[in-house]
Amino acid sequence: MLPNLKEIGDKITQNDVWKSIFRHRYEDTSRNRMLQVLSNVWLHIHPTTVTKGNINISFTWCLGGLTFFVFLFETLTGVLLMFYYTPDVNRAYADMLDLSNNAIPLGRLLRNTHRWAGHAMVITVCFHMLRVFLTGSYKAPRQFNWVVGVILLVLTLLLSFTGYLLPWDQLGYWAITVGTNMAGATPFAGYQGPFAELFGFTIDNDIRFGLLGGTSIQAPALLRAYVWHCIGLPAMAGGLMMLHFWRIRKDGFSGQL
Amino acid sequence: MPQVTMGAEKKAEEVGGIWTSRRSFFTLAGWGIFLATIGAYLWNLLGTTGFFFPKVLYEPSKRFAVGYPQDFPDHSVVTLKARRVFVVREGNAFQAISMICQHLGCAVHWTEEKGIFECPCHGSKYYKDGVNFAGPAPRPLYHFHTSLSDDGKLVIDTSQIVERERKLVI
Repeated sequence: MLPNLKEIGDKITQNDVWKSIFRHRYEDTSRNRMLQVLSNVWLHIHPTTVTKGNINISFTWCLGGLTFFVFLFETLTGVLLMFYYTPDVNRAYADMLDLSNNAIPLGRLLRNTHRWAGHAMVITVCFHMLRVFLTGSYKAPRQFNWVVGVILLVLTLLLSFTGYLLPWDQLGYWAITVGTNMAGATPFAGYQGPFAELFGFTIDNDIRFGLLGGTSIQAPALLRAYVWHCIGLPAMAGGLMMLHFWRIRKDGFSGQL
Repeated sequence: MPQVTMGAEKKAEEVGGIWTSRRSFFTLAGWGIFLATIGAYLWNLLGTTGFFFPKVLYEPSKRFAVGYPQDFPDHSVVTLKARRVFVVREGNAFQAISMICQHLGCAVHWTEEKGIFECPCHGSKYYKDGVNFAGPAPRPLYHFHTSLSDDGKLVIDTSQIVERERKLVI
């Protein structure tokens, strides 16, 4: 008995998840050629219409916009901090102190605002999520954007988490100790989690090891936190933000900003 | 050259599928090989033997000498902070107890007045023999294998976890 490929294909493609990501079919028709342009984030970022009411800033304070503003601020101050910070266990703490003690012009302002804005971004993104939840804006046709938003929330928390280790002080060190030990208890991925024996996870091949680059917090962990914090996570968050803003323009704002 | 049909919908694929149509078979085989290759590279990038899992570690040895037994006072708990172990001596019996809290991996400290180990992070408490009695810790502190080296030094091996009752009697 040969498998019915059409049925299997339909199972994969005829559902909300697939249709949210691939919004038109592949046939070479005039309509599809038009849809390829209209549903492409690079080619058609603007919606055809935006109603006047939708761009009035009201009591919800444009919380997503605020989050984006804080993200841009973090990018700017973060790049400037990178000029004076070395992700090396012998240098990191001293570099952070130099910045804090104004050994570099504007150093204290840069470091402290970067830290406070990091906290602010977590707060604004949570309020943004609360607002979307309370106004029911996660419902169709915006459910795809809600999923993107949840991933962005996780990335924001991870940015905050990786940045925590970089001063290489007691606070960050033990926070990362606790956090990565939690990762070590992840089901199917951590050496202390459920099913660890079944999949052969030990302290030197599980997800915690992959995060730290070793079995304990040493130089590789600091370097990994630095690279994820400065390049990996911001790049992912930036890409998803583009998708997020583009999709809300296409689906339409649920109310005033 | 693929036929471009302006305006009109193309006809559905003729009946038969990959089992009778050579072209559909090669299309599917091509996609299959492409996806398998991508999958193999992804596994090498993200898998548990992949890019993020270095094969060589530059970490302190798990087996180390901590000094002569007589250096440890009788009825004492000596904290070896850099090694993350306590050396507990009762008469001529020695034990090595881990400093790593069983809750989330903070370093516990020995409180002499109370005679217990306490964790500063989330308040777990352990008796002198390493058994947990308060806080979120789910199990006792690890006890490590202890032995004597040829020159009479106390050697601790943190890669070997032993039962609580085991003591090195000298």
